[in-house]
Amino acid sequence: MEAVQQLRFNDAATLMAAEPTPSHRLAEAVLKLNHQPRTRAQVEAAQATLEYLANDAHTEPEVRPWALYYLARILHWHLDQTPREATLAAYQRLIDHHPAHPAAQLAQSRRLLLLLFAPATATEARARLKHHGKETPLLTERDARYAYHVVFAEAYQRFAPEDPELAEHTRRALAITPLAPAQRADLLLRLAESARRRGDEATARVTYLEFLRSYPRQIRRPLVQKRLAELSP
Amino acid sequence: MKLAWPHTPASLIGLTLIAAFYGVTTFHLSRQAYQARAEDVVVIRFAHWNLEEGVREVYDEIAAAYMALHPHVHVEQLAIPHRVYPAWLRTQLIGGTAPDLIALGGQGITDELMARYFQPLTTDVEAPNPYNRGTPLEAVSWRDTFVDGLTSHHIFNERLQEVYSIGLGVPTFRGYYNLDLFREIMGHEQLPRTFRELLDLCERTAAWSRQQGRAVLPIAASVHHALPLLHALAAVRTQRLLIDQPGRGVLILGDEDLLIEMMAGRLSWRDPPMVDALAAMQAAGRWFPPGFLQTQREDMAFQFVQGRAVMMTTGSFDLRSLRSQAPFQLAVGPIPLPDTNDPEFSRGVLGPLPEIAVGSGRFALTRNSRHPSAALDFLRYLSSVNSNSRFAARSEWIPAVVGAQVPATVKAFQPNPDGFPAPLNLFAGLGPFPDVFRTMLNRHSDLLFSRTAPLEAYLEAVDRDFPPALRNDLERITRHRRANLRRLDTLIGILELDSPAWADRSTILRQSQLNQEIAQAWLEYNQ
Repeated sequence: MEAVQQLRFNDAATLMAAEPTPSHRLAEAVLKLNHQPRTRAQVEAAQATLEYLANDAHTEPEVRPWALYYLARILHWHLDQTPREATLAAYQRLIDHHPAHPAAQLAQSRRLLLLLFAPATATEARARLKHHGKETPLLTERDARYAYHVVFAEAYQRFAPEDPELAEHTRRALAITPLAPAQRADLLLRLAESARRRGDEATARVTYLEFLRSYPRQIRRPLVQKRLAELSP
Repeated sequence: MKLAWPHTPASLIGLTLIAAFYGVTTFHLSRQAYQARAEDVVVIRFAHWNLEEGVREVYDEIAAAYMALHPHVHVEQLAIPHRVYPAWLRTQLIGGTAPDLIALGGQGITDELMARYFQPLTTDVEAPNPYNRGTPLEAVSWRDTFVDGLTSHHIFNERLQEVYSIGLGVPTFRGYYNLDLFREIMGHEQLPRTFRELLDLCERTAAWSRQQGRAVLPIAASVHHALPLLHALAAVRTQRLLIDQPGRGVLILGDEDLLIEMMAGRLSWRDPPMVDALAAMQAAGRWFPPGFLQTQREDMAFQFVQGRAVMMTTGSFDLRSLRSQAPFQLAVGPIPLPDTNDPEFSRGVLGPLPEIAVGSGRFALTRNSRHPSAALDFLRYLSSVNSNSRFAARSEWIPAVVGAQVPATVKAFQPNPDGFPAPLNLFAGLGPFPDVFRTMLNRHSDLLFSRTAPLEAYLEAVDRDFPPALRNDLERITRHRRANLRRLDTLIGILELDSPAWADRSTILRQSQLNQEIAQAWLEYNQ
């Protein structure tokens, strides 16, 4: 584990290769994605291992969804110039086959990211926010729920900042713990700013005050104090 | 292919000296490692380049106090000369021989190097610092014991979404004046308080210089001295963007946000906030000596102490040397920036800039540290309120920890904590956007700071050269970010496969990873 913490992935992969179980093969493939020097051949070797694990009947049920997840991740970030449709299909394959698995739940937010931020006109972007907002994916895992709400909140902020759904998704993301302080600070301000824009001064005030209480040294405090002073008394 | 080696005597001497330096350092490190094994003690090594009087001594004192508390730990200080520090640092990192703690700042550490070779401290800073026990900071998270809450851009890497270093000092910049010369030219001793008064000083100095036939600069500016002033002028005039430009809706407009807004056409260099920033830079920069961007720090400081300039802007860290070298009465005052009452330069200004960015003595923990827990513990000790007071007293730095004593000798540099932040950081240095910086400043400085050419001539050059520079820099950001996202995939994946005990750590990493994925998706959407 120390090797992984220190990003010595080559050493960790060698250790994993000594064990023949599917879990170790999965770990070896994931480590191989960052084998140094990083080459396309290494990534393709990892891809081949993951494809084998995803299709082999003897693979443990717990390993197969993660193999599918990393196959999608390879298309998304590890290979350059992958068509968006191919990445979407890889995430969808996981979601279709193992909808309740934590890996599939994580895949939901990445699929949404690809869909909501695809090139489009402003009108199209707003329309697809509404369209995909009607879907009801199965989300029981905290990381997956957080990611789902944050992706929607970010997309609403960019494409439809006046929509009340922005505050709703932000509020839901804020309720999830643990939350990195930097993320929580941003979520609080996004909620307050969204409420202020919509004229919901009560929510804006409470949230700005919560920010000031939580972050006594934050560099944005004077801006928040200015916003508070501008709210009606 | 044949490598072309430099062959002049000077270059051979230089190479020999560098080789000797590396040889001695490597021998020294190897000897320490051997001794550590032999004596079975935990050795923590920290490296920095601050060779100023008092700094090395106080580091030794604090290390000695720490070792008295922890007899099984031996703390070694490595003070490396500033000129060789960047090359030394890279060699140590890539060679896997880096010390446990390394001082950072302006060594060209890219996001890629940062993520690869340094350990994020984001979760460590949430617990109180045990060495603050018995002080008012006892129950305060380590993060909130610093005057900036570890949120300033030196400390919190917005693109990687991690805290990577802990700092000991707040560098503040002030105007240093040759008071004898100032009195002779102005007829009084009242230092400029407003930007208008600063420009008036420049005009009167130029007229006096012509009249007396004596070459005296209004402002002594090298690249080192000019950038803080130019950056502050650009920043203060773009403050309103933070509340007017929706951006991410979190009252922040980072460099990348700003450039994406410009790439998408929602903001341009011809819009009022940007033109205002450039106009203020131009108004001051016209009084800088020709070729100031190529002038070295030492050369311009020499001109100042020789009495050939009225004013120089630099940091608190130069006080000792200027005080000891200047044969005239030295005065220090705030840098006069445009305020909300300025008749010409007030648009876009919200108020003073904050001066709480912790930036000096910033130590980061290397991933190859053999004793990361012990190194982190020493860092906590070093940045406790008592150690920071002790450090400030000896070094004459402005302390970074809340409640630490500011030495009486540097009271004039006491930071203003209440200013408004600003978005425009592009003139502060190369940073992550070197092509944009070079285009906006170096390449067309003759037009921007011309005493005769209108701003329009500069804007025309920018219209032509800015878009490709912007694309290059954003492509560089994309490359670094993709590399980091890939690394996080492996790190998070193995943490989760290894044990459920890592669940909270992987959750925090996933949140950081998601933010970076969203930032990249937004960048690509706007391309």
